[in-house]
Amino acid sequence: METRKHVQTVVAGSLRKPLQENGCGECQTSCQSACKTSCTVGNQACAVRQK
Amino acid sequence: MRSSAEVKCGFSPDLHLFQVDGCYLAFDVNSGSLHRLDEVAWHLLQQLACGGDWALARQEAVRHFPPDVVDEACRELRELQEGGQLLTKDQGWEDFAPGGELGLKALCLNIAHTCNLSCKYCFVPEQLRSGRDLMPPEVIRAALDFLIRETPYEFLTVDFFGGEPLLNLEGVKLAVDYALEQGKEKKWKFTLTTNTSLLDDEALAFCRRHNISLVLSCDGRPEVHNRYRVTGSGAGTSSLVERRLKRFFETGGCGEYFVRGTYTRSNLDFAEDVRYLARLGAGSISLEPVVAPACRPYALRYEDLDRLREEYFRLARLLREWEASGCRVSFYHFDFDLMGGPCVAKRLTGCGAGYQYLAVTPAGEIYPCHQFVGHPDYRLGDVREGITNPELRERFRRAHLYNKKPCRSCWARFLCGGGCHAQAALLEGDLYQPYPLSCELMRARLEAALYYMAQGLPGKGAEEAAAASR
Repeated sequence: METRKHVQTVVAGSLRKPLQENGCGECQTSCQSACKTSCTVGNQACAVRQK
Repeated sequence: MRSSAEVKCGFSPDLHLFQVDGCYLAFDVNSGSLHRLDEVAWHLLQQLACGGDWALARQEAVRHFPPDVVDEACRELRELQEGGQLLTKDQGWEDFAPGGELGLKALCLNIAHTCNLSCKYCFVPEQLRSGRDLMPPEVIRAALDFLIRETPYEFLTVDFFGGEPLLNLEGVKLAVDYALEQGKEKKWKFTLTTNTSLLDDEALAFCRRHNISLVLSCDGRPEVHNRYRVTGSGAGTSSLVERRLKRFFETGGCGEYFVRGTYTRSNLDFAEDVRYLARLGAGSISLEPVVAPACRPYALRYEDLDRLREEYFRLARLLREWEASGCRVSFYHFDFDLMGGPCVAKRLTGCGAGYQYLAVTPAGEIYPCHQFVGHPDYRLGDVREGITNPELRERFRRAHLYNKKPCRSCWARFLCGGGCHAQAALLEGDLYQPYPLSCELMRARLEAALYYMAQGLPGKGAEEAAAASR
């Protein structure tokens, strides 16, 4: 339980951790699901984690 | 109402500080962490981000706040730094950039180039839409054979696109059957992007039976939709599309769908269109900025950016308000999973157009993505012959974050992935130079997405959102 008074962590990111993940390539290519014109990668899901 | 403090020195490529409605936020770029700060911590971080050390930051802060409070905030910030969640440095992830190991995994089949509408902002070249091209069975089969032959992957995706794909429903059915039959060992995902006007019970039943994800085009309010989404004779299509959407929702929708609209400079208040679509029953919505050369009257302009930024924040507040009243609506670009999400390699490669994702025309030509179709300089090959321009494919493979100079120092780089290749190439004239207006829009939308997440903290969302919108 976080007890800090001055900083509240909304998301403790994990971007630095997956050094062993060298990109299996199984995830969806990012322009496909909805946008078709304005892709982002941050909102994509990892296909391996979803298995 | 809000101000952004993208610090121009020191940690700027690695830390993004911004405030909205008295909500102070710090996004740590290299860890992907998001923190909400009080004024003391905000003050300290601003000093640190400008290259100051802890002693200087403290010295400055105690001029405004009691020393014991400053020391307490310093301790908390240092803890986060030591834990790798704040003030982290770029790890130099060039090694994760794509090499030859990434192969083809998705096709966008322009199963019908023809369209029953004449939307004024459509990016498909007029000469393609006005033809009557439907993808014939031999091209459909050759395209899927090409995908199955080339791919190293288990998960494959086929998008049905156009034109209007439902003008070739028989082709869609053939493609689905053929893919499932020829690629029995694969896990297939199918998506279909339609203008919704032809989504009758037969088409819907087929999509449901095969779990096809639907992207249903509707721009929102009737006056907005009818301005650009018209028939060949210029008649608006809002009432027809709304009837189809209502039928879709009343009969249970489908497994995965998005109601997707385009906004232009004619409706910079697009949050009202999200509201309208939500009232129609849409639970998953995506509103996208129009893609158009600057000379078009509906193209977004730099002078619209402040208004658009405000609108994304307004939308974030509205979504939280609705959520607090029991109505959750998912806005595609705000649904981030910072704790999960894609791996580093994916964040560097962006959309994968040109080598992981390819578009196929009814004639069987291959292009890097659906937005390049009709631009002969970007023809990559043919489904019967395979890739005949491997140099071009290599240029796309190399178009990752670390080869795009503006991206290397942008705080949004690991969320954005380098932007849209088609906009860079076709609007900016250089595949390796992101289109600057799109970058500005992307950063505004991402800030709003981070703000939206922060408003989801227990006790932070609804009342602040309500106060801000009053």
